[in-house]
Amino acid sequence: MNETLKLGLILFLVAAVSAGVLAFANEVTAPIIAEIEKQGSFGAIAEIFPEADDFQPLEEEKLNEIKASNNFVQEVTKALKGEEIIGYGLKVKSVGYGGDIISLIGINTEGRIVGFNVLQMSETPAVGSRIVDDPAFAESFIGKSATEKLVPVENPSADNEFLALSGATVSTTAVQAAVNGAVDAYVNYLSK
Amino acid sequence: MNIINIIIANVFINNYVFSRFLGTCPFLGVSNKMETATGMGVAVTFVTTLASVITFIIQKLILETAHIEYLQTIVFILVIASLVQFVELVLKKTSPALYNAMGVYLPLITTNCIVLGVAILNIQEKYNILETAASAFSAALGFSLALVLMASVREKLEIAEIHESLEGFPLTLIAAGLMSIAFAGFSGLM
Amino acid sequence: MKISDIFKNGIIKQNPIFVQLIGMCSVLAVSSSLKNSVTMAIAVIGVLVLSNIVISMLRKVTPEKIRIPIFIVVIATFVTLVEMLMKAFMQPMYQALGIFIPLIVVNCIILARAEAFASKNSVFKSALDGVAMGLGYGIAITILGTIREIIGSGSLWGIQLFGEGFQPAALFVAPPGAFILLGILIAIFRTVVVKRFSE
Repeated sequence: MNETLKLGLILFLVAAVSAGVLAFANEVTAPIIAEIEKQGSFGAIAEIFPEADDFQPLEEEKLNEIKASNNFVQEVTKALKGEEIIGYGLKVKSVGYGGDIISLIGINTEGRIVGFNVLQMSETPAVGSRIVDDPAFAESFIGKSATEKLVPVENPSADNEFLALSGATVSTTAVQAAVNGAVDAYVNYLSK
Repeated sequence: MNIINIIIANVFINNYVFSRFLGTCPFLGVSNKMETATGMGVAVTFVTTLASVITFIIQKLILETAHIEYLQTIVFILVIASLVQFVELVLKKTSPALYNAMGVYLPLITTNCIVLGVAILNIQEKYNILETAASAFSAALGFSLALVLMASVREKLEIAEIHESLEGFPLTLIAAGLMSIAFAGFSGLM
Repeated sequence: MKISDIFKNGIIKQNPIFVQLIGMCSVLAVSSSLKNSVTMAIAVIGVLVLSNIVISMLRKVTPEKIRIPIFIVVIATFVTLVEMLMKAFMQPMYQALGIFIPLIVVNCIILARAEAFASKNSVFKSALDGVAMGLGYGIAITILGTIREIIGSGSLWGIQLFGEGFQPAALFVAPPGAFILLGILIAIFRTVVVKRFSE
């Protein structure tokens, strides 16, 4: 038999066995992974809106409209109590120092930020990671206005100020961009 | 302009060697002479850009449509390995002199973390094909920059007198660390 | 090769990180905390031992011309398995280690051992070589991780060691610190350890 053909066949055989093994492993692990990822997003938003009894994703056309005008918003979930919408959970993404920062911002129907939760980040430990490690950071967003752009300051007091992390400017600015992206989406699409 | 941002980020702010730690092995191994450094830089840039575009196409056309995304790692690395083989063959036939000069370093490109790394990152960042090409090209450019800078430093270090224990790689790594601090200064750029 | 030689080789004389200087990318990137370092080491040892075993099992039937692609397929299969397992059962750690998990497939150590040892030796010895080289890698990344986390974050395995007043030297958990520390460690390892073991 032609040598190249034989070599090709052997390689193909090895690749086929490998693909088979991986397909099997995928069957087993994919559902577990999907569960965990769903837990991750619904778990976080349920913590922000404890009074809600149901969560539903925002209608696709509206989400696409938002995404077309906004680089940060990835997903929007409606928090419902009965038939009434009591707020929105916006999943936003921006680029930090060590990669993507994905956060969940909760905005209620009165235009106030009621929740801020970093879902995923790989910022430098003890520096940028303070957006997660330092509870004062997340707290500085609660109750703030979701109808104007927010700015980081050393001692946040006004409606549009949140805590700046000294020495972690890149991470702070990334979060600022993402939060303001959520604010934009709320003001232009969700509050009407 | 998103593409310009990507390029600046990959070369300076998030330099693949000094910030992301990819491509360290060839960075340490090949950076001792300027000639080999530039040769390696050019080869890596070519392979990386081509590999990222090809893997992007395969990801969209095959892996995502057939829902076999879990085969990404294995398919990508095979594409890269084949590409490197192919480049070697072409180089052997078209420019034997260059092939001989590059010699051992060509097959090493397969295990260069940057090639696989940027291919995977492009998919994760959800870039389109143009952004993918820009990202790959600039990542390799940043690597080449790091290589050339290091080569110029090491050529001078060769002549200096250093304590025996620090000679060679320890000193190279410390030099890399200092360069990394310098590059960290770029992070304020955007 | 005697069994004790295999271990001495992997951990000291041919320590992949401190002596051979291969497989460095993950060591520098992941060693900012001890927990990440140890997890990475376990993943690498796992892939290394398993692929050494399979490649050794296949060594008599692997045609020389396509041995590299076959090695790559075997290694990539185990890496993908590790990826899936981590995603399903250790999500936070999977995210912390990020792209360096799939990058295990281009970790020079694994391909180097496949080519230099597993393709030419018995399954048992290849498995041991995998363990030995893996331990060499693991010890290196753990030492680096310990130092970087203590000095750079003031903690160990996430537990704060010092009081409020301690100002960690954040440089060490950042890239520059990794390069510099590794350089120093290699210098120390070379002069102290290797010399002592060759006498």
